[in-house]
Amino acid sequence: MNIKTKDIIDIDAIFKEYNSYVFKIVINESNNKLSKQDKEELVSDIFFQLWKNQKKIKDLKKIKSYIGKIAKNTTKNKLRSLKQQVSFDENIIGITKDNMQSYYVSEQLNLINKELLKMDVLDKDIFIMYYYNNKKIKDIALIKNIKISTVKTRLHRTRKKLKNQLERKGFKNGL
Amino acid sequence: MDYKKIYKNVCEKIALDNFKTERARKRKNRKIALISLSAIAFISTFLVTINALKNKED
Repeated sequence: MNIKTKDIIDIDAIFKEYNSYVFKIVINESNNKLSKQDKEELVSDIFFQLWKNQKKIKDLKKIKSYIGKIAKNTTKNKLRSLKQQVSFDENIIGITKDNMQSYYVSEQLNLINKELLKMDVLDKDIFIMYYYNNKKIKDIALIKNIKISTVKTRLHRTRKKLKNQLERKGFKNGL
Repeated sequence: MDYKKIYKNVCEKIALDNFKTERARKRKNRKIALISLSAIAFISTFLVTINALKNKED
């Protein structure tokens, strides 16, 4: 693999030494809410974050606590993002047991799709990338070559529009 | 836990990040070069025109 030689930390050695430590933190922090794949992904994310922020490490002797902090925060962020995904799925795309509710959800989805077709191409693309493809705002901004704040604003506007439309059609909870 | 797989994943992420950083650096350099060239071209055209007008006046 192509790893720069001017790195301050030796990621190979650090990975060998601290992988089990990081994994333990991930297990403890996640409380069995994550799958095995998610945990593996998280561990790799943590080491990547460490490599990316290596210039911020002032004292290499305290690297263990630094890794611990990154591991905790990254796990918390992951759990938070999963929670958001789940609540979104439950509200809009989720599969429900109750027939009436599934009809209600499919009606909502139909309406959202119709409204999306009427929208500006950029707004539609951003919305689909964010909610359907689970892409990060940062990545969307990079793909579309626009500012992060623009993506956020457009998402907010689209959500508001959809909410209004849903409420107008009698869906009380909206988005 | 498949540590080899995780390590490979970390390496891939680092390689991708390196690639993106390098690409951004190249793009920035290209932009700067283009702006510099445009500025030089503009200034030289300006000077040549000024000179030509001066000669005409003389």
